[in-house]
Amino acid sequence: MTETNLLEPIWLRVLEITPQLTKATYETLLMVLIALSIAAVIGIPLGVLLVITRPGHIWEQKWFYKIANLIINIIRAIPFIILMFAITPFTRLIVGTTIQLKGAIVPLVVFTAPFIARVTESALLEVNKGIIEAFLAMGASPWQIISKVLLKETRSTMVLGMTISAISLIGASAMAGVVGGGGLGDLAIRYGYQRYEGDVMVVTLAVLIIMVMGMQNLGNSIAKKLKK
Amino acid sequence: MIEITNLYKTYQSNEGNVEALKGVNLKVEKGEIFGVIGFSGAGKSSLIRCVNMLEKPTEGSVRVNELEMTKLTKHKLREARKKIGMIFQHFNLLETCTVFENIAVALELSHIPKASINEKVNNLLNIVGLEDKKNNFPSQLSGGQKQRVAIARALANDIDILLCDEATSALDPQTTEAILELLLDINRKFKITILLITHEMHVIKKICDKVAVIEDGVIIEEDTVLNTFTKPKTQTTRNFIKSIMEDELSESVLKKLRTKKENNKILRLTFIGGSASQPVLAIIAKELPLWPNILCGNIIQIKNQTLGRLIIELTGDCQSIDEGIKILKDHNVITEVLNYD
Ligand SMILES: Nc1ncnc2c1ncn2[C@@H]1O[C@H](COP(=O)(O)OP(=O)(O)OP(=O)(O)O)[C@@H](O)[C@H]1O
Ligand SMILES: [Mg+2]
Repeated sequence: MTETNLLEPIWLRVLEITPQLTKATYETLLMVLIALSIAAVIGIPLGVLLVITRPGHIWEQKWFYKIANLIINIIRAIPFIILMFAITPFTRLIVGTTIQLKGAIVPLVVFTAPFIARVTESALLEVNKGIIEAFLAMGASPWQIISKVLLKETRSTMVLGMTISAISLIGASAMAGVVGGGGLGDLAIRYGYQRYEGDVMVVTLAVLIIMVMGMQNLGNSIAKKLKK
Repeated sequence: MIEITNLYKTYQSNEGNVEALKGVNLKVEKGEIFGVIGFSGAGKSSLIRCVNMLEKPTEGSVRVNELEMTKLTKHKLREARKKIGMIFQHFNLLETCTVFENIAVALELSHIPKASINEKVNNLLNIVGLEDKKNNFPSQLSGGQKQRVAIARALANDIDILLCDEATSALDPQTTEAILELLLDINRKFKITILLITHEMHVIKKICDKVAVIEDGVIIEEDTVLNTFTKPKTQTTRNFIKSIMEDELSESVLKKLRTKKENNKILRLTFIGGSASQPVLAIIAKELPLWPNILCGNIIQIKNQTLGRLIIELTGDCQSIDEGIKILKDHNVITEVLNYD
């Protein structure tokens, strides 16, 4: 057999599964985007609260801080695959099902929101205390300090943090796919693992790698633009 | 006007309580530049931070323009703070914002419309002399330029009072001069009352009208700067003065003086303003059998007054020396007899 003969079946197979591949890519992106948006809406304010409620900060709330900190640590300690099954009653309560895109989004959000909260927290803690004091001295309200100092000064770091969150979501979404959310992870497992079609697996992985690299590059360049 | 009465500040920490301020009383009149000087840990920052409630006093009263600061609601406190500017040792600018944005943000806090912000910021940039840097970032500025931005930002909301927490301590001597000039300018042009804290006597001498010396949480001396320089009451104050004005004789000079056989006295003479222009030493030498010998001399500028200080040796008979001292005093020269034996 010649080399071309050896390669031919792979390309043919890839062509064959292109519709599924496109669909799976679309599903993954959709899952990541929806989960990331919802998780950000929960996680960023939570991260801000984790910063401003700590002792000596602009809105000290000792108990809120302690409890929120504990809950986040607990969720963060649970591996996603376990979390996904552990919260099925909750998932059903929220979206009425534990399968399909809807069913996958809920555990993804529960997984990612605390992550984003921590990313936000560590970014905001980098803001020099002196700057916050200068704004307090100028008569800024807590809300103004959050929007005009904390989030504004860290916007570049925050974009990088969100990029990391998005990429970790791609990984988690692959697992969520197994329970019926679809996506690239699901495709890779169904063809590559269960049917021993290594070539499909390789192509799927290639798409995942490109996706991760694309997101990281996009995040980096936005962050760079925002930095000054 | 700032009126601090019986102010106490105690910090609570795991290692125990720290009494940073122990019953401070202070009155800063409108339009004045008032300096508080003290060594590290004396309680200077605690004091100035209690004025705008960045630090909550443990006890006592702080009144700013007749407003009791310790009893304000959060909202009222924010309103009051808008009229009290503050600048810091480390400038505290937004690193990701341009000079323009750093100043504009102060106006945004007060919900000033965008159109007037533009005009106002340009005006402020003009006051602090940074028009050409408006699009630069703080990382592209020198320390002095950063402090100018901070001053412009503090001035943005038409403040009555400016608090300066070691505003020149991170700057080199030349830049310090320029920033002090700017503060003086602001005080004169806009009638802004300035309360500053420092550990450098030079800052006090250059721009302050009044000075208080703080030690260990207590004000140990308070007077006009001129009086403090001419008649210091405590050793701490004397040490601060010595840091910018040498008025002790060196050991080698003292040694020579001790071996002399003639009858002499060592005098410290302080001339203020007008008395500096009269040739008073020539007068006593001409009228009495006395030989004045200058051992050490200084002239310093205290804000808008000249202060001259001489240490002289006066040789002659006892009676002539006493008469000479009288003539000096009649000419408004502050005369002290020093004992070096
Ligand atoms: N937040 C704090 N918690 C505990 N102790 C404090 C705190 N801030 C200041 N102190 C203590 O209070 C005392 C006075 O401190 P303060 O900062 O007012 O001094 P300072 O005169 O400004 O000194 P420096 O010139 O070093 O800035 C010091 O003993 C200091 O350790
Ligand atoms: Mg200090």
